[in-house]
Amino acid sequence: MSVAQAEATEVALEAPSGLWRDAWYRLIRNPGAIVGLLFVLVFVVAAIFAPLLATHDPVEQNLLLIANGCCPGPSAEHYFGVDLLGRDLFTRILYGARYSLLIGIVSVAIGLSIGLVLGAIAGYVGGFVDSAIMRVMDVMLAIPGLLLAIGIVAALGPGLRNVMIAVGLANVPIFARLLRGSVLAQREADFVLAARSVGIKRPQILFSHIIPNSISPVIVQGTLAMATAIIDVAGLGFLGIGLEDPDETPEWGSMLTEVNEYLQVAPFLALIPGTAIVISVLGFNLIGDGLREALDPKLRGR
Amino acid sequence: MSTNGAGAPLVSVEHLKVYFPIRSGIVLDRHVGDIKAVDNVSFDVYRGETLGLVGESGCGKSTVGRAILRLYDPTEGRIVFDGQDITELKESQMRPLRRRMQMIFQDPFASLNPRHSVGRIIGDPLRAHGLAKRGDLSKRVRELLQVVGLPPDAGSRFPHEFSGGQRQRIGLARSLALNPDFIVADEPVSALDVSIQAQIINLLERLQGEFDLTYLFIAHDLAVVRHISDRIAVMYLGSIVEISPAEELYENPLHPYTIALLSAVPIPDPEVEAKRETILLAGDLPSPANPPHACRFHTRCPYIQPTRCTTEVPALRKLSDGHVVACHWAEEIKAGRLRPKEREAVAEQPLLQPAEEPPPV
Repeated sequence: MSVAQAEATEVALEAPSGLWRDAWYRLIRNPGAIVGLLFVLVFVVAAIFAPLLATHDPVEQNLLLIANGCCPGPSAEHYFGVDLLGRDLFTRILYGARYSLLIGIVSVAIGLSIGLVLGAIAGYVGGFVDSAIMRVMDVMLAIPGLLLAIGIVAALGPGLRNVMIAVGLANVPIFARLLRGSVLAQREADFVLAARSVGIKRPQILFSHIIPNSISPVIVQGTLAMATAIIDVAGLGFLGIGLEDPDETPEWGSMLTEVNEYLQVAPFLALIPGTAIVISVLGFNLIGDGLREALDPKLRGR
Repeated sequence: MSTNGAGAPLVSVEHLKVYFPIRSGIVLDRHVGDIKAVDNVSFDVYRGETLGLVGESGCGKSTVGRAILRLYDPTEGRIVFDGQDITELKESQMRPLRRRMQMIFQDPFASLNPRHSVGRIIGDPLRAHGLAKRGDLSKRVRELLQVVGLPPDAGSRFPHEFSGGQRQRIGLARSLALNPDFIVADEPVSALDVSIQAQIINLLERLQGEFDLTYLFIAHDLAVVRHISDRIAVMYLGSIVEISPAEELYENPLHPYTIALLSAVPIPDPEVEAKRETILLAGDLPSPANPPHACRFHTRCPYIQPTRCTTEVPALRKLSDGHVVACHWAEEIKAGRLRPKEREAVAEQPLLQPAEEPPPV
């Protein structure tokens, strides 16, 4: 009994903590993840406060500025210079952050939600349903993601909404596969058997026992997919099948495309939106890597 | 409650078979064979007793326990719980019965959901059966924590904050939450330190008295089983080879497998230990996908005889002294007329396929 009492007091000394809180503490102690969080934070701030931070109008053209050739570089008036139509590049980058974040979040949300449902059903129901769903996913995976997105945009027509749907759908098989794998691993776990043996219903076992324990690789993949979604949309924009009206919409990918004929005379026109893409993608990737470590139960307690 | 061995059994297992199909094929699954994890097992568990179920790893003892709780579906045979045949019940029909039969798991680290607080883990069974409202629930959880010797504030903590022994107490509290009559304890102490094992065993015994519990106690540690069991069943390769009252089994083992098993238990006296005879079994456990015909133990049996052993399946039969054993030569062994002999492992027949891993248990 004395051993049990000693154990009891020992337990009482430790602060109570949840797994998610533990994970959060580990995440903010990871230098890489902090850098990632800062990068993303910069873009979130830029996106939210774009109208306040902007020095000019994002679509207003000022052709007088480029009367003497393209294009004036950074100056006190125009921090990042002006583009080939005389628009302020700094302002356009700020507004572009809105589109990039929106694209990243919405397309990942589309891919994640469909992928989660399909993966959970395939993994938990198993059998024929599993085979049917996963063979469709295999077919989708056999086509390169960007090519698949191009095909979907071609079918749906261009436009921001359709681009996000296309990139999201191209992500579905990745999420479905990932979740199916971890659901399969958890389905036979002892605590799932225990839940069955006390009489908990099957849907509740899936939602409160299996999915919460299978979701962490999917969350990690989600942050990484946000990075690739931004690149994919930029790529679609570069290929000219992205947004309906790239002139009116300051989106980083199309900002890159517009200037490909001016690379030699004004390289900053490509470098600046390119750097914005790199930094935001790097930010999401660093957060994803940090989350992967923070959510790994084997590293708990370090 | 009736006394041991008297009255109707609480749980009856009749000719239970649990086969796990071996499948192969990429597009179409072909059924190429079965892992015969449990093959024709029958026994009764009487109210208030502890039936020990022993056997080496992979002999199917956990599968029996899980099949009784219908966590695995029996391939054949009948499971009768308190007079009701539960073999064919659907999941929804089983649910009310689950209040009366519970399980304690071997691995206290895998059997608790790491994302749920202890209070939720213990309260879940009550919620699932609609047995407690919010206020009552936390009161009941504190009660249960106290019963198993944990501090009442443990409810707000998470499993990873506890040691193995404490986690096993949490699992115990969960299985007691519904006030069950019958508990399958699947190697409840084999993952614990020896010092903690004794605590948990004593706790199990105390709870049995307090709550009129009936245990099916699955283990491979013979000393632990001897301590806690009233009767003991010995399993080998999916079948029961011997059932007898605990002391009788240890004093007077009759099946050659039991004799070999018991001879491997060290005796804490160097002089006796040096003199006693140990029987080393030759060879490995045969594959349950392709078990030896006739007597399943004949490939390794040190008492093997030229007749019957390789041609005739020994039935589980009751000897004059109430000892139940599945060996053709039990009487001769008992009388000391047969002696064990050294032997090489004899392969029953070349395995058609490499030994398959049984499905995750």
